Amino acid sequence: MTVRRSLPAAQEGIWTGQQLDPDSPAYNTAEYVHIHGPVDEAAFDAALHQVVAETEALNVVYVVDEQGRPWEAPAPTGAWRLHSADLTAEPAPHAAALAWMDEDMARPVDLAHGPLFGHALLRIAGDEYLWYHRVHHIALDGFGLSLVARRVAQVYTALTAGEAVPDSGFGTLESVRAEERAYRASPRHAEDRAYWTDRYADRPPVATPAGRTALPARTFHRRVIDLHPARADTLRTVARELSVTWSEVLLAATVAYLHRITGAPEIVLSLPAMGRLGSVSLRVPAMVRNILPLRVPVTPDDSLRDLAARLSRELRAGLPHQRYRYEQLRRDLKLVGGRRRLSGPGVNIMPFEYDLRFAGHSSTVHNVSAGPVDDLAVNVYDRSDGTGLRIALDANPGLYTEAEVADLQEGLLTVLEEGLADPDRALGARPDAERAVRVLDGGPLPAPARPVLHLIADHAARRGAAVALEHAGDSRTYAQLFGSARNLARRLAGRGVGGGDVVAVALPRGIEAVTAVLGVLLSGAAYCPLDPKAPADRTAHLLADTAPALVLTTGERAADFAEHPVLLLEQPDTGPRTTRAPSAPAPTDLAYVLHTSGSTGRPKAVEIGHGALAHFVAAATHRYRLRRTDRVLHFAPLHFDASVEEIFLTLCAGGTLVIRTDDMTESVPRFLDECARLRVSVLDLPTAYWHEVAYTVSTGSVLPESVRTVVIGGEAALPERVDRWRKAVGTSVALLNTYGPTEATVVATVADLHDPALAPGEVPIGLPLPGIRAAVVEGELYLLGDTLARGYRGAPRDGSRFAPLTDVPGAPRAYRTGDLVRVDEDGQLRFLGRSDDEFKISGHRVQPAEVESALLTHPGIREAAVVGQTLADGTRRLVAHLVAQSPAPSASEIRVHLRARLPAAMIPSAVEAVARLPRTDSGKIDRTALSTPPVPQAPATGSDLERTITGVWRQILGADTVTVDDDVFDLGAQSLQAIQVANRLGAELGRDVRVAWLFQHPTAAALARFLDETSPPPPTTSAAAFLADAVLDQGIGPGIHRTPGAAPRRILLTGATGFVGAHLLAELLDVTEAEIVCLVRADGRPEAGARIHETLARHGITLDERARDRLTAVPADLARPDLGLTRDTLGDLAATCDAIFHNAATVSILRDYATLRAVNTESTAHLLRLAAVRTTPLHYVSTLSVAPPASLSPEVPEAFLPAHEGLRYGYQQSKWASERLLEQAAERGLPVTVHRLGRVVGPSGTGYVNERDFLWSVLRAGVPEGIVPELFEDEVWTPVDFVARALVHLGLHPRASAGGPVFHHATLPRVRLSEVYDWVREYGYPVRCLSLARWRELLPRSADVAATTIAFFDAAEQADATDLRLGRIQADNVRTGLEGSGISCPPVDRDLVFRHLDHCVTSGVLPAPEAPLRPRRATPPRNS
Amino acid sequence: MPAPLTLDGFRADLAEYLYLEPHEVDLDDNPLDAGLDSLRIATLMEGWRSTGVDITFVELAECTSFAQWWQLLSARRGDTP
Repeated sequence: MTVRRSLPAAQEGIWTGQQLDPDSPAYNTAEYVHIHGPVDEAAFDAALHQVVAETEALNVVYVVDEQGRPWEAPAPTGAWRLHSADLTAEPAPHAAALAWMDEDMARPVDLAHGPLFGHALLRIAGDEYLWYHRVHHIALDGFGLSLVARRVAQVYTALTAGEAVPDSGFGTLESVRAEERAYRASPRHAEDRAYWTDRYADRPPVATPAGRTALPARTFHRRVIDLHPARADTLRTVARELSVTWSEVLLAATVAYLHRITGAPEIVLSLPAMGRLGSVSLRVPAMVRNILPLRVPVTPDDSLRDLAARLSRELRAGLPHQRYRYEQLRRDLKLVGGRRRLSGPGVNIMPFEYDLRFAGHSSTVHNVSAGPVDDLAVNVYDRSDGTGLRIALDANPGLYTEAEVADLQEGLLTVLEEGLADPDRALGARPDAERAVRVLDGGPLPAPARPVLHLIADHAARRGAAVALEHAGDSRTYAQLFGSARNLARRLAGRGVGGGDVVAVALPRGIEAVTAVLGVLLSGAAYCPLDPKAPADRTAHLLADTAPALVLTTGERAADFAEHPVLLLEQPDTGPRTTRAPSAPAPTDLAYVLHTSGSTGRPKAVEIGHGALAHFVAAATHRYRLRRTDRVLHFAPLHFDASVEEIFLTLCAGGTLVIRTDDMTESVPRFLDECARLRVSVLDLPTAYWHEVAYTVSTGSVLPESVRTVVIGGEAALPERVDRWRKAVGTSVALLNTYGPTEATVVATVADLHDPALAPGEVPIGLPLPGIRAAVVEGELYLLGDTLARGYRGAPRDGSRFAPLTDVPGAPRAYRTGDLVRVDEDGQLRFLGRSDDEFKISGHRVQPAEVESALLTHPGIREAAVVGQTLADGTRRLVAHLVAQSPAPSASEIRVHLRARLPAAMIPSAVEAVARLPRTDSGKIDRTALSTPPVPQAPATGSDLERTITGVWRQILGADTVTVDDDVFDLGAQSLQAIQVANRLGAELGRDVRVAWLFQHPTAAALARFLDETSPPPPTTSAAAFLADAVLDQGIGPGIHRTPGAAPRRILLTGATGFVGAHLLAELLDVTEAEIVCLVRADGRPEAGARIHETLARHGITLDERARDRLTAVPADLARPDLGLTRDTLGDLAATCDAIFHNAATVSILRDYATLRAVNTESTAHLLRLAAVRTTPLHYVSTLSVAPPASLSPEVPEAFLPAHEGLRYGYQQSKWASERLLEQAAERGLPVTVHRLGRVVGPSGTGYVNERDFLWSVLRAGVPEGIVPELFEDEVWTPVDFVARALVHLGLHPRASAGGPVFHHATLPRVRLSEVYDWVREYGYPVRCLSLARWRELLPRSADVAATTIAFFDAAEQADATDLRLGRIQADNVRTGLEGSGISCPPVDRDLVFRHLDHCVTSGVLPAPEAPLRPRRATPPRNS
Repeated sequence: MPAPLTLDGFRADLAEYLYLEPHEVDLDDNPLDAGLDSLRIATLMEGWRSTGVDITFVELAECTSFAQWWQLLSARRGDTP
């Protein structure tokens, strides 16, 4: 048993921080030492290896037990490599080195497996080297890092001089732990605790420039400035004059500055403290650093002298208590979690002497990262070479933009200068006093906004082959999209349409609609989207008001626009056209016109200009962190401004817009499945729909792994749903709550609802986007900035909403939103309600006046009052209260009347006749009284299922009169409510309920009957997914014909860094003269090459120089349609490769299909597309595990297999789906072969063992314990060298593969597991064979067996014990194909297993057997 | 090079950083408890090194009393020319 130790407080804090975001690299700390002189790389490498070996803290891992508690366990760092690179050939070697470091820093560390560190030696000039040293903060603090660096210099210097290396003098981690234990038991500990808990008993508020908190981000902004030596001298002089240290002067200046910008009466800083004075840890590289809170009261009249003295006193009072842990103090004070904090910005002053010499050559040390940044951190490095001080201001990007950090740094230095110039001058003066109007400023844009058409044109020009749009299996590249849009623009120009015109677009969501929008903009005109489902009457009104030059639509809808000139999108281009490209629109030109509900009873047309659109795109892209690799779902219809966000943000970022199909929202679980299948990374959802998604993910469905950001907006998010979401999804997926009226271009403010610091129940709308300001005047929100609309188009004008805001200096133009808000303590906006009667339904703004005026056009209605009601569960509905003439019209008659005049969202879901409307004292309609919803009562009649259905409908409709025979749509049910009901029924009944079924069966009785008759589909949603994926694109088929038979000149190989792949590569290099192009996941060519050579070395394969020259490694990403290659490379490969061997796959017995599909299945589709261009043969390495078990099929045919019940694990499914794609390719005449392998064991010659292999990891775990599990009866084993030779032979000789296309590499008799265990015993390991469960139980947790293997056993125990054994495996195709080739399979026998075991012993994987029953050395292999 | 370090000079140096009169410095005090931090220790060390005493930060920081400092400083003082 290995020893494990609980974590000391310092490490536990870091461990916990890492768990908040396990993939975050933020805890990587690093520095680099610039060595000014030659470096002997071999000696340096040796020195590093020695120092790493003697540094205990680098030879541990952090494991978690069953209760989730962390433990530190010794784990000698195995083989690790110094990354050494000569960058002198780079144009800017130093910059290249820094870029390399940045990349290295971005890699998260696996604390459970290590290594926790990394080293690189980068040569940047003849005699200039950078030694880069990265360590996870859990292992070392800054001082620990310096101890290691000093030791490396010492060892290296001794080695190069040929002298004996002096002892390291390092103490042990145990001595540090013992000291900590003794301290905790000492009276001193209690005294320290008393000091701090007393000093902070009042839990002082913590003021920061951001005014809010955020989780430490994965990276940080850094601004570095070197304080000129003369200024540093002044600093020291002033410090002496003030009888403090220079660090205290810097602290005082920081306090003064923070006071100046926050106005807070007290500033609480966080001071990292070395925590080593008088401690054994002075000689132990470890993590012992503590943090001290430092509170300093400030008034605006304080001078530097006042503050320095006050601060120094406070600091010196606290220092003697510096061993008391900060984490513990937070717990003592109950300041853990949420937005609670003990102290604010950090100031870290590093005065350590650090002039290392490497074999006599001087060096300078540069910090790369000091770990995660909570808020702000001022890091000060004393450059002891007399060059002054370096001040690095680090900031959490979740709280500060880079521009803000620059401002902060400048402000801080200004205060410092002022204080140094006159230590008695008052520093705290804040220029502006408290104002009545609160203005929140989103800060400047990170870069000037660029016109959207420029950005999209850029992508089309530079990355034309990238996919811009996807819709229902169809796609458009940027080049195609832009080309079609330009053609359309020319057609429009041909019709005389251009700048100043508006073109109405009446198209459903789709590729054509997006093309149309771009085409209109390119023509210089603005687009005006029409709701395809709106009543004709309303559309006619809109068109009359908007007066478009043209309506762009399809033939089937053309009749709706008979009174307007129409251009049919699909019509062949016959009209006049101009070749003159329309001129680019100016920022003041109109981009689009959108309609929104008007309080005067008619819709208002909002005019948005190109400048506003560009500004919005720049700001939101930055705020949402949208990237080129993002796949954004296009959810909204065009007449919603969310579509502007989806379309333009995505296309301007160069991402892929994944257009939703109508059936995608049939049910929320289906929606989530589809998002997973489409690998959507950004979801932009109406809040009302997101409420349903949140409900669904909280009741068992899973948010797809691909989704990293969810943007919601349209109405207030329900706190209850936000809490559900956060419980189910956690905080790693960004959840952005957006707020904004159409009049300010889609979104004006954004809040991070995923911020773990956000207290439950809090739903802010956040802070303005960059470049936008929000002013709160008497509780009402005004928006200011470049995204404001030009105004409203046509009559009726509502100009009063746009006006100069005189309360703000300069009286800028502002839009008065009518929304009531509050600015909370955290500085974020909260939405409180409306100042008028506007109500939001499914994201639509509804002015009750507009509905009322439509109601009053009915002759039978005398008075009408429409109000919004929010039911107890948050459901929103519109209720009409009517005073009718006699005879009163029926509710359904009224709805029919409204449907002809209003869009669906504006139709009240409840219509109530009243004798008179309630009035307030002043005689106005009492809308408050009308807004109070009734309480629904539980239904009493019908079957259980019927009662469940009516119960849900009653809840959603807010009506207590729904009976089993009511048609819910007659009762006013709307689509969104149907979605809600389907969703809730689905959760209550534990089965998928589709929205369409509710429409088909609109009464509870009918729906219950239907549900009773339809048995629920199988619960595995991924089953559908892998079957759906297994459809080959229609476009893939034989391209240019090729003459087979000629010797291949170029061969493409995937998966060369795997076990089988490495041997395939060696074989291909051996038997052909071709160049072998290996696609490798890597950042660059050198890394790709390095990975291959590393693999070959690991598997003991050596290449001669000629072979090496024929090997080309290309960095690639198989999961992407372009394989992650440039268009040129892709085209080149398609044109020149004569064969493709596709071997890459993620082999995992545990992962589900959704996480494997991209690499294992879609890669095959992408490679088939490449192969099809020149009808290039593609050879696919598959697995026998795709075959049905013996219980389903007594024999496994050497042929393609239909889907079967045995496909239960994600890996099997992904490989089967791949084969299915190849089957279709074969049917279409593409030359493909499929090679199914069994267990591939080490080569017969060397006895090498693939340590990743499942069975061998079982032996590795079990043999030292003397126990092995019963796993299976027998299975197919094949030595890897034989498989490689056979596969390559069959692939390259068309005659040999004539029997194919499927081959089973299973020509030998199966190996019985009991026999293998017998051989293991004969070899000298007395193992007992146990049932799997028992074996698992007896196996110590600490045994060296891969965690996934353990997890598989745990999972397998729960799964039913269906026998997965295969029937007889046909292998005649392989036998026939190899005839006459001289390739034969060596036997898999005791000798081979002995050779494998020899290898395990030699490489230290297994201990040598104590008493071998036989000579340990196996007999040499025969004939191989 | 400044004059060699004497016990009086040592006391005076400490007194400056401890806001005390030289005679008030208690050599049995723990530097940490007395309110010194690593920067002050490093600054003191730089001053003493400039008088020719060969000491490192770690050596000073390890000590738990000013008396140990003086012991260390006086021992190292002799090693230098």
